[in-house]
Amino acid sequence: MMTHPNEEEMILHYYGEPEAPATIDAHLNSCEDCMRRYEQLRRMLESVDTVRVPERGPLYGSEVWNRLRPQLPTRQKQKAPVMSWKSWAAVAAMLVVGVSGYYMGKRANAVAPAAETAATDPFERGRQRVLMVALTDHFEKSRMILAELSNADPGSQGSRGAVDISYERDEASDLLESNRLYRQAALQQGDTQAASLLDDLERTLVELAHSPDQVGTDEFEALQQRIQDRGLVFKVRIFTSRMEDLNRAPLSQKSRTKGQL
Amino acid sequence: MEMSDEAAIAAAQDGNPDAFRVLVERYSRSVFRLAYRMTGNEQDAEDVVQEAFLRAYKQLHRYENRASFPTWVYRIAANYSLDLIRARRTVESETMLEQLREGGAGPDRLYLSGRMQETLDRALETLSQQERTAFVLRHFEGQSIDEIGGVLGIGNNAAKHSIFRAVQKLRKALSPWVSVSTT
Repeated sequence: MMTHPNEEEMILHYYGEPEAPATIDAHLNSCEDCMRRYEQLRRMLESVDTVRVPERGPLYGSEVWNRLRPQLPTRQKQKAPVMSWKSWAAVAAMLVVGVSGYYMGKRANAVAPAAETAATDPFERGRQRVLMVALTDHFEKSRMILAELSNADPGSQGSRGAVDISYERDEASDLLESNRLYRQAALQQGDTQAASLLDDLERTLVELAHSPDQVGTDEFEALQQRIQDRGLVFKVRIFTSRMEDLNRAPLSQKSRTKGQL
Repeated sequence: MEMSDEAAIAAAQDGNPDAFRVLVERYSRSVFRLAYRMTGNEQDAEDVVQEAFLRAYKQLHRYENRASFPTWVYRIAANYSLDLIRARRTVESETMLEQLREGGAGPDRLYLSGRMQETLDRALETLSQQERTAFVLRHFEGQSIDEIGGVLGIGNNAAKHSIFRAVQKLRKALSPWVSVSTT
């Protein structure tokens, strides 16, 4: 007769995994205590099944395609010849209010006049909201590239020895110019926290933007290690997350929150 | 005759974006289900579906037949779902999460206030990204441990232990509710 199964073995049994002990059924039928534990586990897992998923109709795939089709790029990626309006606008916003001063409340006194203007001028409020979204978008796009690289398994990308990073390279090139301007604007404002983060980010974007289409596995793993060592994914995530919270909050609350984070 | 996944991918790789339509129509619903279970939010799930297929198309040159197309697009959708979960986590959810971690939201209160769905959503939020992905793929999608390892880019043992940890955390978060609901 088998010994009492542990929880892990019970989980394997519940999911019908071949690794589960073959005699577990017989044991559960003869051991009241184990059967009680197994029933608790089963009830708990079945309660998770009550998560409702909204139905999607048979034409859902066509609807998704109709939305997706206009967004599909041509196979040859087009480079933007000039920086987008959003980047210029966000740089302009930083010159007015500072980045971490606005989002993280570290420079409340320095930005107070601009914030007061924003609180009273509806046009200025709208403009700032757009600019905040643009800047959040820049960090979010950067973070996604870094996360994709960090999570990638070089062994699953194809033949061992070469990893295709052309997609990330092109994305990094697109982000690099605006990142430089954000960093310069942050420095000009004396906003060292934002400037430092943007500087870290820029070094990685430069490295990526100048990479070939494919790099060796060892080189790719070294790149992953550098990203990890710099803690970039985490730092950008924290920064973006706070910005997202403030983006969601009403502006009046942002004014109250400023300086309190 | 219906075009196979492989033929559709090859045609799309050759510069025919309309061939990609076959794949979008074939797998949108299952990607939506996965995304909804990952994010717990309908609008987020819609965003994930859209973004997952867009990214898949952009990265088609990288796709090889080592994994099936649905497994590959699931991986993209799961990773993007995790990004959304992180980005959209609100102060409110953090508070609720704390309540669950500390056992502050008692079973009666949760059950009687009809917040079962929310409780489950919050319980899923207590899982790490890897645990949540592994659990959703195993529990809801019925993927094998080997396939889950492939999606997450980890070994079989690590995938298995992610599922164990997920179940243990869920048991801890849900056990008050489960015991109330069965009495």
